[in-house]
Amino acid sequence: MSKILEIFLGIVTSIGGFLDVGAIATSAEAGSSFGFHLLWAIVLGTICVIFLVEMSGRLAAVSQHTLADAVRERFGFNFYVFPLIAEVIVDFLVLGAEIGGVCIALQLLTGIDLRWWALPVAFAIWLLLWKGTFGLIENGISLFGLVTLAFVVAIFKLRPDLPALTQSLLPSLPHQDTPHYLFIAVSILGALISPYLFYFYSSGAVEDKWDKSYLGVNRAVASLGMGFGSIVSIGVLIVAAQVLQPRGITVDSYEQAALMLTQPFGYWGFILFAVSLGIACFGAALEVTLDTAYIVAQALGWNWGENLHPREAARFSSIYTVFVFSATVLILIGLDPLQLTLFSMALTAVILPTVIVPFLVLMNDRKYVGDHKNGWISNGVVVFTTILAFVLAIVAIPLEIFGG
Amino acid sequence: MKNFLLPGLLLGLTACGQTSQEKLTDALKTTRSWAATAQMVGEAWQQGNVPDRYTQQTLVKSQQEIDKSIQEINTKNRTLQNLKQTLQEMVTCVEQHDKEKITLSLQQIKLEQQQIEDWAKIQGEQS
Repeated sequence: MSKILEIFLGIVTSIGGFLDVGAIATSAEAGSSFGFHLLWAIVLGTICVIFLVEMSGRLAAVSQHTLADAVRERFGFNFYVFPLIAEVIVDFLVLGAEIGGVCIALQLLTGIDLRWWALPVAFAIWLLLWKGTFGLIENGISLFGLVTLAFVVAIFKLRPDLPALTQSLLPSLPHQDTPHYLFIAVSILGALISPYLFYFYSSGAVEDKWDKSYLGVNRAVASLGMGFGSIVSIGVLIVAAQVLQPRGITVDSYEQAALMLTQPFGYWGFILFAVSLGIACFGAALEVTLDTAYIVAQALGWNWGENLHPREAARFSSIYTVFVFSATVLILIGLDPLQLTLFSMALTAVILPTVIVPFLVLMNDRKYVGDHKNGWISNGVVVFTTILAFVLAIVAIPLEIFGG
Repeated sequence: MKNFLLPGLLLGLTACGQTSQEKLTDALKTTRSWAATAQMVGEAWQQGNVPDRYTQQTLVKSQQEIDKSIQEINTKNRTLQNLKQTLQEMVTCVEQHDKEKITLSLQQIKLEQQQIEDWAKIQGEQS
């Protein structure tokens, strides 16, 4: 019975916690610029992230190692330092974007400029990490995140063209603005296949003391939670395509995206957008901050754990303290949160191979996963998506920056 | 060395920068998008679907973005100048909470959007 409850809670929190600043920004930009045409990228990214999250949970349950810990042990510190640095840089940018998302949400609700909110938001994140437990971070905030289901409800109110939706599941190139299309496709993949997600998930599994009896829970939570969660991302894309694109609005700023839900829900649509953005980004900011502390502490062999008192894991607590306040600089200096988000998501796609290649080696090493090693389908899906995201990123990022 | 060839080549090809036609296309796209945003936010405000502060901030942002586009293509196009004026009138309507008067500005902005569309078409045909 308790396992069923865990599966249910895992699925619910995965749905509530699925959206973050990257998923909202990339889906809104995709829908407003290209209609339903980039739906395939969300579907592909979701399939890949289901495999990766399942793999990271399986690694933790079978080997009792977190992903970072296992990579460092298997390949040595000199190797691990490269994915570590890449991940910390991307986490820093993503955290800046998430904090920016919360600040924008507060600006929308209060009218007070977003930069005034950066430090109070960072303080709130730090306070929750300092005082809270892993369960509170993982489940508490994600339950509030269920408000993002408003985007799914909006789909039913807007009644999109079903044949057009189904057609969009197959990749196609647009008639114009191909470089931007590719850049957004890369950003969607980067937003969905965020390495912080599986580093965080494996650390959480170790914190929750998973063993082999949790393999079923892990499989159910990864596939159903991520699968249903992606429907929220799809919801954002469809709503943007239905509401903003016909008016000729392409989302270059969150102020434009905020209008998305006013058509189906009126004034409450505006409030729902701001609250969804704020909660989704706040939850993700907690996870990214914690993830950075996890991977650095695990790499350097320090004591770590969100369930430990900060005194018992002083260096671990110091990392997230320094990290969360440093990331506010990106907002305080006036970087546009939406552009920061899109860029950090595309950069995530560039670093994917450095994280995923050693991960795949581990998942095929019997020393770590015994009889539970990857099958050819898991290996194939992850390799294909990672290569696709990396190649698209190498092509699309220069084109986007320097102009097509 | 080979590892750096493809990214280097791409950077080299793309770093040449945009042509003036591409700049114009981009600027018009941005202008149309922000004009449409201003119209949608104005309508939403009239219907009571968005707060005053947000409406003002978004209209000001629309003005700034359109202004940036105008400067980028260095044009003295009358419609674009009129559009800026209309946006300023909308900001004033929101400040004065005049929901009737904004109807005129919304009609005006619709007209200007159409004129920008026509201008964009002519520019597209000339290129």
